[in-house]
Amino acid sequence: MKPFPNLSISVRTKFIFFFIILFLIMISFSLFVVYNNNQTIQQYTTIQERFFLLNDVSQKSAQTYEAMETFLIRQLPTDLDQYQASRKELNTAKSRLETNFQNELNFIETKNYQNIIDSFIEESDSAVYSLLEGDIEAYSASQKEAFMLIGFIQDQTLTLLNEDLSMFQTYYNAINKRNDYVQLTLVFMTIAALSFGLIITYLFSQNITRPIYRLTHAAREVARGKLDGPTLPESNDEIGFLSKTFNKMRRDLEHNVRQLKEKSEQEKLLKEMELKSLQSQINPHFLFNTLNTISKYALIHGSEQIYKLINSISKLLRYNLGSMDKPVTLADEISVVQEYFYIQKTRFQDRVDFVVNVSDECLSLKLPILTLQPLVENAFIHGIEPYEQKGVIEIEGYAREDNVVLKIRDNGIGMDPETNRMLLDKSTSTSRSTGHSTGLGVKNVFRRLELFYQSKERISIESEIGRGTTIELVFPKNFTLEVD
Amino acid sequence: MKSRKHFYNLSHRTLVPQGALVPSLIIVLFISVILTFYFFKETIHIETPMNGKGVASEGDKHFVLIIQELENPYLQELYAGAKAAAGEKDVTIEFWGTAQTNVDDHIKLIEMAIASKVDGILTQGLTHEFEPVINKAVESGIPVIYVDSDIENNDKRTYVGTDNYQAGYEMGVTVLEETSGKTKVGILNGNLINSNLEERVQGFLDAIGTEDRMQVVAIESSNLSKIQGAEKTYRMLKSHPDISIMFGTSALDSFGIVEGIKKANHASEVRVYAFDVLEETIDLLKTGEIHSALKQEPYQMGYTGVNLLLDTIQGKEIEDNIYTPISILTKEDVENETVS
Repeated sequence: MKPFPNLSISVRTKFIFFFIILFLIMISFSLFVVYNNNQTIQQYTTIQERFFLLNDVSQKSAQTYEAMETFLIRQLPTDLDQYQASRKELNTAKSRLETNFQNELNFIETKNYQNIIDSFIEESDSAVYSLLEGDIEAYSASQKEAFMLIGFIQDQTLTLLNEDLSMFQTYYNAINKRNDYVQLTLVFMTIAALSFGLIITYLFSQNITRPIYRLTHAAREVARGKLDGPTLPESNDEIGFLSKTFNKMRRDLEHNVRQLKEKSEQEKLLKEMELKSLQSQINPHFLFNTLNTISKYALIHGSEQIYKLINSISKLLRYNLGSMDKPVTLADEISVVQEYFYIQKTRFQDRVDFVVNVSDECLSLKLPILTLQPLVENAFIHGIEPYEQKGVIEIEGYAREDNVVLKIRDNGIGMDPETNRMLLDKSTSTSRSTGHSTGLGVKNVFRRLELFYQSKERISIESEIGRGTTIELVFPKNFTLEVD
Repeated sequence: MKSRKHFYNLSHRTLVPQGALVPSLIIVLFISVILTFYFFKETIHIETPMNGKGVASEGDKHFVLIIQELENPYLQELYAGAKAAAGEKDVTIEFWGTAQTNVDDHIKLIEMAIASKVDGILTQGLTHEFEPVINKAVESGIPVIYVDSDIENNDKRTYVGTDNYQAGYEMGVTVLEETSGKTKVGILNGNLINSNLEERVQGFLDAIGTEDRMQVVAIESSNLSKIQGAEKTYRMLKSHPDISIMFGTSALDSFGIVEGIKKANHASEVRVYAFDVLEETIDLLKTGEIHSALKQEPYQMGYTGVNLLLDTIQGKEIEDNIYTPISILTKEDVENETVS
């Protein structure tokens, strides 16, 4: 599972997002709690205020009554003022009932309450005015009436209070239920936040640690010398950058090591060849001089054939003993092969035929020295020598697209597929074939070609027992050597 | 190298079970988010009954029905009638009353209604003691109509209810029809204050008084209490074992009588003639423990009462006495019905 596929977001941005979301959740958490608390407190305050208001009304009416009574007894102007003040306060308190107390549930009771208060005020007023007008009888009746009404007010206050309390009970239950819901909301919110956090944390850790594990694993492999491990996935974050750099480093390292190896092997092979030539280089000047003398003698004695033969051997030897580390052209190779052919032709007469069929455009092809001759010699030794009938060795060369195709064909005894496979198998060590004039085997040739063309050549062998063998070499036409 | 290898293996091991971890966490997250929203919605939807500052649109007129016993089903049915009429006419009606019959408290309630400046009062006319306060109400411009019971010799205020004298009389006639020979009668009167109950007794007495064979041996008051009613009946039966007819002037009296007869373990059959038909009365009629019951129409009383108050306010002339129908129910009548 890839946690964040195709997301080019850096680890830091991811963390910032994560924390912002987490903070938002936390804030909504506390806002929710604070909001609920506030609401509850507000409701409680409202209820309290209702109780206070009822108490207020009841107290104010009692005060009014007392003030009235005091005035009736003492009949002082200050008492009248006191009465008026209390009366006004009572009226104010009464008017607050309508806005702060009355609701659809206690509408009629509150209305009665207000009316009773009105009746009380009227009756009190009537008592006061009767007194002021000197109507003793009326004022005592009104006072009595007012006393009764104040009783009603107290009764009604209690009734309303009771009703409010029972209403409060319902409301209290509702609040409790709501608190339960709030708690449940918080519990599930916590669980949600927790699981969200866990998921995000897990994905993050996966996102970060998994590439790190892979990186450490790959680094350990590199430390052990294994350079061809799987390429690390390159995401777009910081770790991805590390992986990318690591991949590049490992690729470069592998390339360099391979180059190093190839170079050393090339050198080893060259050394081997040099050693071979050194063995036969005992005294080449002496050898060539002697051969020259012999050839001249042969000419003087009228044996042109011997002269030619010795000339060929001399050329062959000179070529073999020449500079080993410089590439040569196909034309050079072919001329050496023809010298070789001449010697063999002299030896085998009509039993063997050599055909060279190479188009001119191919002649400038660069090749490592001693490529063609050992292959032809191989065809000769293994293909033609044991062959009872007339043997034909043909070198064919032509250009095909951007390549040069070189074919060494013989009609000899052929080889079994196992030998065929063994020759093409790069893993087995170079075979040391005996009986070759150069001492170089086919595998040595193939390997040198591979190193020379840096594996851009193609070698195939087609062979059938009794039908001969064809070695096909395909080289890129315009190959320039990368390494000097 | 060894420790590193260990670390590596460990990290690999922790990677294994997490395949199941994420999907299960996602499920948990999903469920808890849904539940969070569900409960969150619940917290929003809680009603706050105390908050209503708005004024409910109540009816134009505001009446009060004041009765003597709040828990009395008969009177509650009366209120139901009044309420129905009030509902039709956009009137608010309140149901006030004392827990038990109490003249002083009843008067106080009427006073309170006056102080509350209601638009009309329906009350039972229990006694003459009501008259001053009723007059006060009318003087303050509040019309008053008596329902169910009328004050004796009332010729000033309208009365809506059973013609109690007539009802008692019809009961008496029924007893006469259903008996022969010398018959002893016991009467249990609800209370001695209530004039309508007195009228029932008077009507009953007048009816059976037409024949000499009828003899009323006892008239007792139950104070409108079932327990007292039972006790009085018990004593009555003990001192007059030959009573064969019991007459109760109210629903509770008839239950008291039935209870008292049971307690007395009376040998001979006593026929119970009762007033008012409640659910319990119907059961007792079915078992035969009550012989017959006089059915009043409290619902109609309340209903008519409210309409009459409105008529009065509108200045219409109304009659002094408006009688609601009565009927006498026997076992046969209630066999197929459950509630009156």
